[in-house]
Amino acid sequence: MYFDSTGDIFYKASGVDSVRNCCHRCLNKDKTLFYEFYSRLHQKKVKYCLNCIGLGRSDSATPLMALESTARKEKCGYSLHFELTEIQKEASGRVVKAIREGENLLLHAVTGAGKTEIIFEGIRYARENGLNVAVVSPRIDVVKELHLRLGGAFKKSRIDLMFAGVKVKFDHHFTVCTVHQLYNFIGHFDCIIVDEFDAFPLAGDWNLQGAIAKAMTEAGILIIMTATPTRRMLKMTDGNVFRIARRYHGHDLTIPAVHYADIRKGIKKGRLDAKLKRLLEAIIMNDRKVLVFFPDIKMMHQVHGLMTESFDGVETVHSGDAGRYGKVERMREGGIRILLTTTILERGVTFKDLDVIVVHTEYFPSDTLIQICGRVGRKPQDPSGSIHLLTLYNTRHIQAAIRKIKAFNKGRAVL
Amino acid sequence: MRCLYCHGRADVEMNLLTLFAVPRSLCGECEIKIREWRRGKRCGRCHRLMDDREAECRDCLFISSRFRPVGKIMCMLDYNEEVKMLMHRYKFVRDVALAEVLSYFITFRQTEYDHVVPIPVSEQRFQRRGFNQVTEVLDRAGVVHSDMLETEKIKHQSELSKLERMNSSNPFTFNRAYEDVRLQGTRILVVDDIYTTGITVHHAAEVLLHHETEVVDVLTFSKA
Repeated sequence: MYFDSTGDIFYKASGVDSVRNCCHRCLNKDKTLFYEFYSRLHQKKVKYCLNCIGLGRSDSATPLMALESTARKEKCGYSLHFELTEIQKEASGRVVKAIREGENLLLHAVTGAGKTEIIFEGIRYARENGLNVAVVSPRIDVVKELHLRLGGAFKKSRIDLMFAGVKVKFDHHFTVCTVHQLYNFIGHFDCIIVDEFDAFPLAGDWNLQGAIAKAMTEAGILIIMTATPTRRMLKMTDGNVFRIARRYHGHDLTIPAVHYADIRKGIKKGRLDAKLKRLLEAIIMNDRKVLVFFPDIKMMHQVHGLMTESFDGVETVHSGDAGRYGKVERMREGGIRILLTTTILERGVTFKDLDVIVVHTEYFPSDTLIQICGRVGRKPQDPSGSIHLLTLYNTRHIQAAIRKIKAFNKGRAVL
Repeated sequence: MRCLYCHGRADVEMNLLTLFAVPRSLCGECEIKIREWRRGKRCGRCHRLMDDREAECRDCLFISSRFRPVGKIMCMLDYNEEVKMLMHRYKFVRDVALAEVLSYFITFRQTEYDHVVPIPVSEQRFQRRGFNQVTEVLDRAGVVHSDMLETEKIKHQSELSKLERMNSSNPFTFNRAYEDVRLQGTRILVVDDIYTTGITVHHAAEVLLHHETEVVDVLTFSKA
């Protein structure tokens, strides 16, 4: 069943229980996340849920309507322009097995292992057996990328796409959407594949994790794909793990180099840190591009001001930046050489000939660092780049990140 | 206390300055983002962002050639990306809580005006949206308003092209309930949500100026 204002099932008389403070759609029970106002139209007080307002208003004056789930078998071939590697094939087999036998699965793969391609066969199997499939991610950027790649491969399938304001709806047999959109479904999907499970905001949001469970059928299976799993994810998938410790092109992950530098001191004195400047100059000399990660937006803008004095083609992106997709595109084409960013670009982006610098690394947790390091060397033509971690002091997280990357290179994967 | 814009916590640290302040449901970070004005040359009258080559504001020239002049045009916020999102959520997702956010930005001398007149919405639109986007904000800001205007307009200004807007006839009529009120020589403030070309508010002002008011000023929440 899924909620739809044009539906014919009368799920609840009102979307929000105004007495008990409960949203029937997203199950939000936090009373600070409701807003009550006097509605002149209804001639009474109306309460609505702020937690799921992005999906359209769910309020105490409107009934919650739903549509019954349907299922349909579908002949669905996909096209792939290259052959999967041995390990990818093995992983792909495991995904199919998981779907066939109804097991949950954690796909623990290094960054750049070709995770998306691995699930193709599983999706095909599920669709041909009439199972409803959802491929979800907490991040809009990743959802867009997934839809692009799945749409390109499954040319004959009708793929529903939903995020923020965008809705392309068919009958929800094969859906690509953000995790938030799952609030709209109850026991609908037989198979939910979550990409980047550890990304914000899913990682710390119990309510949102509950939405995944609610959207699944009773026998539904959960497949989690991530490069940085936690013990909790292992538990959610009943300890059923498949590990890929190699990238698809077979080269090692780049080990980051640690430098000690204090960028903030330089900002105070109104000049660009000498070490940072030297690194940037070397990268530009080699005709490569660079992503520079900052722990906060304010510092990024200050350094941006200093950098434009000595370098051309410097730009900044952050989550609130409306032109960020355009800038990423220009970076790909080479119009931008140095892109300053917050952790917004830690995952989901691929550039050619890329190096990475992290500023004030002591503020970053280890899984973010692993993701950041994973930006480098994703193309077979350029399998290695350099990663420079500028930090004030060494931290447990820097050490853990380096240890995990080294373990990946030795073919082991550690939690 | 929640920030009604980002839904994060909007608790303020207690100190001597904040102890007696009225608590707001808007966090400092969101306020800064919403308050920001885009840089650039602006029209001194309607605050439109102008081209560098433009000597006089095109929109204002056009308006002055068609309509009787209104007094000053005030606007509370720029139409930056953040405000654009806010307005969309407020009017089309019907997140009424944002009326409260907008009400924090209202600043004008209430004693200066005899009547505050909001731009009306048609009955049909009212049924669909469930509220009037201007009066909701004024109510929350504690501004007493007199709904002197009525409209039957169905289509949204944003659905019309500039040419269609220019050639549209005046959609506003005077509310009969206010016929006995003497408007001669009064000072009136017309309030609208977004000022784009200015045609809407000038249409409204036209109806009011008909009653020989002393002045009709304009306040809008945002300048597109």
